[in-house]
Amino acid sequence: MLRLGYIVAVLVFFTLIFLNLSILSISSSTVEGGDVDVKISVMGNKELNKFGRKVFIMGVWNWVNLSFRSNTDRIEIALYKGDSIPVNKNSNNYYSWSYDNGWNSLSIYNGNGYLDKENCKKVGNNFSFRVTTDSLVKEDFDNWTLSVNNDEMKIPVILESPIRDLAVTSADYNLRVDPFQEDIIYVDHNFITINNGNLPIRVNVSYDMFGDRITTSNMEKLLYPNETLEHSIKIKTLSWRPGRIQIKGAIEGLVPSSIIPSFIESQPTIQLNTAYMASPFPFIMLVVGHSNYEIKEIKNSDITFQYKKEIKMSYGEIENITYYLCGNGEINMSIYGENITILNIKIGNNTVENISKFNVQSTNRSEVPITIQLDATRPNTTGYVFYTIWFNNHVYNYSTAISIGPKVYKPKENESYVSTYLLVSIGFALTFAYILYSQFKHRR
Amino acid sequence: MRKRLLVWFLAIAIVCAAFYITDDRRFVVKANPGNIEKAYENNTYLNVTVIAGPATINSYDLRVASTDVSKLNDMIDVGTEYKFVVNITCPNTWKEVDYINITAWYDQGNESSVYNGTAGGNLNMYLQYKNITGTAEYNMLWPTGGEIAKGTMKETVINESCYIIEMGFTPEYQVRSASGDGSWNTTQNQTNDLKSWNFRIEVTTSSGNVTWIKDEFGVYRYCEISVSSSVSASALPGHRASTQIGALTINYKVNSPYKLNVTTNTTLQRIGGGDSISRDYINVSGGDISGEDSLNDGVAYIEGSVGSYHAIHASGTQESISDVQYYCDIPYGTLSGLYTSKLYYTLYLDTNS
Repeated sequence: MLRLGYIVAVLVFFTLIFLNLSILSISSSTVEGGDVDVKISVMGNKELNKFGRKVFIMGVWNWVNLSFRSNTDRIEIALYKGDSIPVNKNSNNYYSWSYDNGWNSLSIYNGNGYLDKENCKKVGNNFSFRVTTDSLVKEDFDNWTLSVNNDEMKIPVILESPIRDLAVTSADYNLRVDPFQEDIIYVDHNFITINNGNLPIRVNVSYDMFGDRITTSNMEKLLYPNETLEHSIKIKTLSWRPGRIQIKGAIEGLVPSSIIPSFIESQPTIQLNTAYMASPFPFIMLVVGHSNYEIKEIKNSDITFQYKKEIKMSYGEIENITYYLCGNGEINMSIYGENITILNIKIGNNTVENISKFNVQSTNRSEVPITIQLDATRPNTTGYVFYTIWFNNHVYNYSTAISIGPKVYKPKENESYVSTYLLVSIGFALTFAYILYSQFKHRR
Repeated sequence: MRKRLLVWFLAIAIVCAAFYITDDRRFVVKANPGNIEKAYENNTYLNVTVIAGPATINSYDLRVASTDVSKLNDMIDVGTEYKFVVNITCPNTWKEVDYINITAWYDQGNESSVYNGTAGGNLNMYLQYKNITGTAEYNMLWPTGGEIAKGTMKETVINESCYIIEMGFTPEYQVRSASGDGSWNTTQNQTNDLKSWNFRIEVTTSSGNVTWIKDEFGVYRYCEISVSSSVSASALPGHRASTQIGALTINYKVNSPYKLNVTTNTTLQRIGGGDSISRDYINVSGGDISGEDSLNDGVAYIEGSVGSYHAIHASGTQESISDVQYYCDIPYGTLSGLYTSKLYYTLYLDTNS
């Protein structure tokens, strides 16, 4: 009898131990609110939230990251439409996955489990499910629920259509560079790329010319939803001849292919993955010419003529103004003035004999400077210098307006001081003379 | 001795006389109104009308609202708030000001252009400060379709007759771009840069006098495109795979004439290899496309064409196309599986208009 009692006691003891272990095992897999952090993101651990709900993008891989504060070996998550588990489960309303010493799809539709087993991860008590859904939301979004361990924890979710978006602004540039000079120029403002969608996009730029001489910052970077990137531009110029150069860029926005799932298809299926190009962005207008000069390009040639559109002079002033010709060919020119006197014209160092018609031998390897010496012989008027260029049986006319003001008195160096000193000295002399005169008069 | 006294007397007299003559205070007299004995005839009237003279615009500027950086004769960006800052003096009192009207319009490359509200909310703007008793009103009379958002108004009182008025606005994303003519002429009170937005600030006083100035600014080009989903369709070999109508929506925002085309890689490669489908089998419909356009030449223009841009939208803040469909005639003998390619939507914006 004692032996039977001993056996019963031992059995009860081991039964209790077994029961206790079972209870411990169950409690370790339960999830209480606040005992787990949940984050949903497509890439970069960047979670989107709308209307107080976490955003799950359908049709692309989403990371569902769960971090437990207590030891957890087994977990089950479900994503379903509405606030409660649907009675009739299908691909339009219910998806479920689990980890139990391996990653499993608990809902399989058309042979697809919507789970990227190869990339799912478990590190300690952190579980990273990489999952997706079918492309099923007809409207922009639906309210769904992410459930952890059979509704022990419920997280409100918005299931949203994937929106690939790219915006570009402030990418218009007007730049000037001196002719025949290599330089490095920086643009005066950054252009901006914006992602107003809900998927990350990788931005890149290409240029239709001089791509190897243009550096654009922040390229090949991921632009996450609701983020902007600023891009500066640096151009290493060449020894360009005068003229205008249009450089057209094209911004590419590409959703990383790694987030787009591909499933087994029972018949030929095409899948065209959206990408964007915005062109011409940036648009760079490079003017190769002298500062504050107008530049005219003669049609069907490489001839350019640079001149000043407006200048100011004072009556009586003599000033040299230089104009530039460039391009291959023999160019006939004439120059004449109105309300202004042209004293002489020099091509390089050679004085032009007949300014009413002369030839200029021009090349595209350098500029030919034409210097005109002007004498403002009429005050308070507008003078003009007219240029006529004959080339390839065509005539081209340009002009410079010269605003001539009144004569400006320019005192010679120290002139004003001399006159002031002279006046003061004379004043002192007169006063001193008067005092002396008064003294002598009173002595008498 | 007598002579000296006489000289001294004269000198003192002259000094006193000079002081008296130059002292303005000799005109100030005191009187008690209560003891002035007067009689009045009240059967005649003297009517005096005070006419409000023209106001003077002392200075004006166009600035970034948040930073006060000037953008006069410079480029502004869509989606950012700016403000006109106008310093105005009236001859007598600020109450004489009735309105400050600011009209702005895209010049269409022609400086003789004028404001025309009916031309569309992306091409014109009309802001008004209305000086009424109490708090002045600030209104945007045009546009009314949301193409431009009215900002805030601020009054800074310098003195009784001089105020600085700030009138804010935000050009939305389809407000007409204006690149200027290559370089900005910064001379004030002139409209001399083509392809710009001209503006005119008018101050009207209660007597009907109008004082005005004019100037310019530019607007950067802006483009944005978003598509709601990828294209996916399946069919048996020898049959046509089609996307459903309305399955995808293309939304875009542009502020100059534009083209929108679509292209794919030359072939769609099968995942896992073993087969491919040429893009020659893919057709597109919707948008400006009449019927269907094959991608066998590499490109289909959904909006605009090879040689022409689609006109800018004079009104509206966003455009949408929801009738685009893709078709693929699956060739006989094609293996089952997923065939993928990039589908490039390219949005070209005009730089010359």
